[in-house]
Amino acid sequence: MVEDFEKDQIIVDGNVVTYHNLKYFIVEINDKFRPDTFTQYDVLLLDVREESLLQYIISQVRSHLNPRVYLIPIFILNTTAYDETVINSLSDGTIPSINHLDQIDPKLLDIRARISRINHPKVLSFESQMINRTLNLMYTRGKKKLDPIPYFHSGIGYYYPELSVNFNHRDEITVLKILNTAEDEGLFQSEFHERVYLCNSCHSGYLNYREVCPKCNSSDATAQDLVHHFPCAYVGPIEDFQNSIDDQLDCPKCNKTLRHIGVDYDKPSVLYTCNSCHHRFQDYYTKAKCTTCGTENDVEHLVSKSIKRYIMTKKGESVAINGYINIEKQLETLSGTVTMEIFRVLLQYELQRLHNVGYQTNIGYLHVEKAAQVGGVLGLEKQKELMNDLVQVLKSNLNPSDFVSFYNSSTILFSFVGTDFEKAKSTITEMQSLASRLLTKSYEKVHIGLRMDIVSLKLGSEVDQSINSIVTPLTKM
Amino acid sequence: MYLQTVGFSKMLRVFWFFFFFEFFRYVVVDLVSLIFIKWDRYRNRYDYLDAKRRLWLELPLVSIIVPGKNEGKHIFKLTTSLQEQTYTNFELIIVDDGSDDDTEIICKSLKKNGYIDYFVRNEVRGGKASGANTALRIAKGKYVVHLDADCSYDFDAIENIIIPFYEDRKIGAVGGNVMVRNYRESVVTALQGFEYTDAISIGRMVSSYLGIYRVVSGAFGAFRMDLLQRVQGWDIGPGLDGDITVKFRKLGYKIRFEDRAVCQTSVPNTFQKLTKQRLRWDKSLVRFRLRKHSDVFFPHQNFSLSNFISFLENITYTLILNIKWYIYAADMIFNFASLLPFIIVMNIFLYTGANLFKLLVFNLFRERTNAPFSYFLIYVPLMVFYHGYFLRIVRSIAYVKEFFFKESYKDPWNPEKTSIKALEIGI
Ligand SMILES: [Zn+2]
Ligand SMILES: [Zn+2]
Ligand SMILES: [Zn+2]
Repeated sequence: MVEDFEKDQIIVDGNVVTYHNLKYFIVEINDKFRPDTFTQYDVLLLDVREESLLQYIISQVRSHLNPRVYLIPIFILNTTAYDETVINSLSDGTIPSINHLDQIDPKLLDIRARISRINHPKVLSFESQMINRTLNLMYTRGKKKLDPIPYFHSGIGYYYPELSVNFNHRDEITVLKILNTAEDEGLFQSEFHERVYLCNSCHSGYLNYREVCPKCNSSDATAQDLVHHFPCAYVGPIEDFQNSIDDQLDCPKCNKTLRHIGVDYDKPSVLYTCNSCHHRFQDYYTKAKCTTCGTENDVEHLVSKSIKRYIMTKKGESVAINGYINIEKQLETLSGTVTMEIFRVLLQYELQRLHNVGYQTNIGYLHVEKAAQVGGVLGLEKQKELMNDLVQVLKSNLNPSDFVSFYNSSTILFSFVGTDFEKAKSTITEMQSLASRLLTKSYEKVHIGLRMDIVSLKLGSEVDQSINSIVTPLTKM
Repeated sequence: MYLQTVGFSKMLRVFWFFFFFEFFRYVVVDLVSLIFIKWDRYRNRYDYLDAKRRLWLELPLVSIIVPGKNEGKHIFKLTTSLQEQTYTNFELIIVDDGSDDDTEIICKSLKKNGYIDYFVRNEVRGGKASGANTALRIAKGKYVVHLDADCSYDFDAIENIIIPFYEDRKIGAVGGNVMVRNYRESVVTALQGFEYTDAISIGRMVSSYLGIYRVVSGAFGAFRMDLLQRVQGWDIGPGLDGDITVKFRKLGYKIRFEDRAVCQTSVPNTFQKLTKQRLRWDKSLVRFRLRKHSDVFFPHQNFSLSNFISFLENITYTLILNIKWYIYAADMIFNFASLLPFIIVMNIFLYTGANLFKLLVFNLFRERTNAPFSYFLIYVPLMVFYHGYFLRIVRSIAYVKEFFFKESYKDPWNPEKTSIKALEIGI
């Protein structure tokens, strides 16, 4: 009895509330907002009224790298519910005060049960990590549908809360690419919802469609009827025929007064005169000016993307629980690299040779640290470019007979055949400083940490065992 | 042998038409003029180079205007031939005069891709003159070059047609040299190819030299913008090319033919189409010379002797000569009935000889040809029939039709609404 009473008791200690053995943390405006520390708690209670602040806090939590943080249940302390769809999608509900914690018990129970079922794979690729996070969030909240929300603040005009929260507006086009990959992998089914047109240079959807002068892109023009006087074949804008005295139209060529449209004159077309460059034209060009980067897009050159509704498949659900690791196909085929499969085969031969001759053989690795964050800043395309650049650095320093392969999108493995360990080690150091210099020069937007080293292959060891001995330490998050 | 029996005076009596009109005007005068032209060109070769230099120094904007209906299919080829031009400071203005084909779509896409500077489409057709005037109203150049869309141009054609303005400040308009592109297509086109190389091209060189050059071809002609503005553009056609030339002359400016500015055009490939085209051309002579600009024959304040002579020459050698030929035919039938078969054969022989002579000798004076003159050799015997009978009959019909029935006002070449007005005010 006493125990039960103890359990039902709400114990408040500053911002920490204990109830039913769970630790609730109350986030207030005057708090120093430190999402890293949220790992100590089981539930967040947001005691914040202002919507934008509320949204900021929720976004910071849901985009946090640590699953203990981004999956944490969030409730808002408020007597009324919010209208803001993003807030509602990314939080788990509202309660009037901490005295009503019992109201959320069933929901909390369910969410926590689902969270406990999830395995967190040591995901390395940015893309797969994003897919995992999205599936995790959806699964733990029992959501099957990922609906695009029309959203003013989104760069592409639509927001997929569980996924888009990880991106800033500039990179939101990546959201669509990731969803496409996930659909290709059979994790989602999709339904067409809407088509959006995006700036060709920055993929922003903030476009101002205007009719502009074909010469100077100004949208300030005056329209005038073109008048054709039949008897003398004079053609000119109507101003040529106007006089300052009366409303009559007089022909500037033959001085006759225009009488009757269709009989002695007509208006065969309309002519625009640009007020900024005085160009005369008949057809406006429709241009879409990007309000983000200022590019004047030809309408036919806008990037067209379809916005779809996604529904999690059975496979998606199982992946949500077991984790999704994909090795990006495009990266495998980068020039100068071999697939992992072939890498294993080649390595097998190498080990065989080693066994016969007693040679020294090494495997090196190059790993980009915090690939998910780097990818978030660079975007998928730029990240691939980065990996390609690194492959080129490797290839130019290795023997032609050495082989390079992507283990995943942030880890490259390569052989270092016939070089003794010490010599190889010093080459690696050189390469690392070379690559680091390249990175600071070409990718100044973000700090990219590189880890490079070599491992000497031991006589009689297995291929998989050797690869694992390299990769496993890297996957520790 | 006959010549010996009848003697030279009898010969002149029987073939007076050939000797006094045709041979004198089209062989003697032409040949003498060509010799002078050649000599002048040699003498003034540095002046010409100087004019060319001044053109390049000033680099004036040239407005190329192309009015037309259903010409879309030709426009792309035209723009590519214009992109090859040595002279590049031009703006290209296309006016679509109520086309009912793909012209609008083609031109809009060409404009979008920067091949055309201005494109104006008139939903309702207004006629060639109104199309040209629309372009003129937009044009900003110092010179206006009027082109037909279905022609193509030598790479130096624009440069060469502008140079004469820098040779002589009294030149108001320059006509380009039109050649037949499809002269190999049929006998009809070959005959026209012959006609354009000899009668038209050489004829224009000569008349230009004599100061009586009449029609700046609509297919390729250059005009001073200030003068076009003074006459306020083109009047209703047909014959608007000749009409505007007359107006320039009346302002006291010279008209020049420039044989070195070359364009090629496709001519009608059947006698039927050719007849239709020539009927229209010939009717316009009556309409514009005798009706609209009849004032040049009468002394008045703007009277000019060269205009008078130009007109007179034109009237004489086309209209009156045409009548004279019938007089000649009658003369022969009534007075020399027994000799008629001989006269006809002899005439054919004389004309053929003259044609052959011109083809061979005048070739020395041509600076640019598109067909080897030898190609036309086999057509020499046919030319007498083409010139002497076919064109003459067509001309006669046209004159009668226009003079008595004002048929040009019914020509669908102009929209009805404008023809009614033109007839009303008698132009
Ligand atoms: Zn008028
Ligand atoms: Zn403008
Ligand atoms: Zn942009």
